[in-house]
Amino acid sequence: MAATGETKMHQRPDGRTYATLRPLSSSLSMLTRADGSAKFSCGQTSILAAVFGPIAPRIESHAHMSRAKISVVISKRSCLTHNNTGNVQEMEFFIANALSACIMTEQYPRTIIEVVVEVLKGDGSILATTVNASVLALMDAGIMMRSLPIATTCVISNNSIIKLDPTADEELEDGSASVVLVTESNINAAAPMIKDGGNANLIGSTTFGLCTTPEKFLACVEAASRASSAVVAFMRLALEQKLERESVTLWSDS
Amino acid sequence: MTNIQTVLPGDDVTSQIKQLGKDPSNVKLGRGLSFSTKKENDGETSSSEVHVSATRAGMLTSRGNTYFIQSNSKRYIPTSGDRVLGIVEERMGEYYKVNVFGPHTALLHTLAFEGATKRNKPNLQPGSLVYCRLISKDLNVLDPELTCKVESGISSLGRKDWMTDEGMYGELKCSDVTGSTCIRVSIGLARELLNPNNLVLRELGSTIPFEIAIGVNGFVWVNSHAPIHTILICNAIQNSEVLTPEQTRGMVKTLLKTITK
Repeated sequence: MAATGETKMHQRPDGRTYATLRPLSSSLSMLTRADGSAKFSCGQTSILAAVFGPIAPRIESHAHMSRAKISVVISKRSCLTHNNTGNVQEMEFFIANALSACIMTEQYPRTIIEVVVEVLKGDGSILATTVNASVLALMDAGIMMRSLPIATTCVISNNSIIKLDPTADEELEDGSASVVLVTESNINAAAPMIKDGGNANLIGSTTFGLCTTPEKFLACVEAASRASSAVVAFMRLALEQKLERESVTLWSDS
Repeated sequence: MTNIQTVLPGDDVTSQIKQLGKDPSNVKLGRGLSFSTKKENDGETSSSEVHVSATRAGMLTSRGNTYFIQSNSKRYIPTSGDRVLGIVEERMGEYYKVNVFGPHTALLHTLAFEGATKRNKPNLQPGSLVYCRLISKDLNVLDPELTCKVESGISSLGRKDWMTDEGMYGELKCSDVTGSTCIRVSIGLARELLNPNNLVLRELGSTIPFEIAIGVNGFVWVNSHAPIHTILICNAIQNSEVLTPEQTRGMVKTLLKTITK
């Protein structure tokens, strides 16, 4: 494919454009003891998430009377942030908050839904891939959700270029800031719309480094919304495979 | 029963229901679906439309006028009226604590057996297996409660005293001598086994006589004349979850050949 001078400028080291995500792959229900499990890979980053729940809490006082508590545990061996200086518990809290916004926790009072995460291979965008792997595992476990929280990473480089789904090298570039955005994939027309016409259902964000202007942030939000629909389409394919197999082997027709 | 398509949580399925000619505000919604009314204000007129959305990932399926999401899971969520198999964990005063493999342990009153009085009641040891049904008034606040009594008002199920082993609910005796054991399966497989026309049980039953108790919480108890038959039945049941009907028939035939020589 011949590249003109202009498109060559927009290519990243691995040949993607600024808005292209890396190839996605996933595998569902591989763990027999977990209620739901998913291995989600985004390029070279590979995350294994397992869901246990809803289960009774080990200490009664940890449970809420009216809803489930989402607990995320990331294996301490994993490197979670792009330069290993992040607080793992802060990341666990961020993921738990993002998931709690979409899980119908009021359906499971006095219980805990535990998500256990293992980072198998890390090559940038680890936090976002972890959120997406957890979402797949939750769907595999049959936990009820209002919508799907999909995370995307944007890195804003020194010259204000926004790139989606960075690799580890791109995240570690001098002077760049990365923004992880969690958007809600509510296709329901009843979803709230932002007044200026944007359709971003943003439910959480965190940044590493200095993300300077609000315009850049809003641009990232818009890019993330668009990218999240691609991720949802992939998840739909992954689940379709599993469900079609089930409908042939497990469910009878009566 | 018609399968429509794969849905993910958050998908609006109102259009799929409308496609089949059903009015979304008149259908029954089963598990995995929830509805919301959205008010549309078009200037002067305002109408509220019913939107049905999915809350689980699965196949949108319909049976008659009821729509639900068909999906398999491994964790049992207690619902009133379910018939489950539980393992007695301990006795706490007037109640037994029974593990039904749900989020919380369930409670079974010591006198909740047919014809049981204070002087004449079963003495369940920790580790005993009971087949009982769930009765719960408020599952959101209280632990699930079980009973081994037959529902009042249903005359087709006879009321047999707990001392005879002929009643519908009660303790299931597991032992190596009589060849009985219990296995855990997924919720979907348990529901399929409860189907009267279930293929694998029919195929097995044509050659081996056996007794089976299936709890909707994914727990299955199998009893037959010899331990080797029981093991074969358990293996066949677990295999049938991942095999098509033709493969299941072949699998059962191969297994049966190993014992009927």
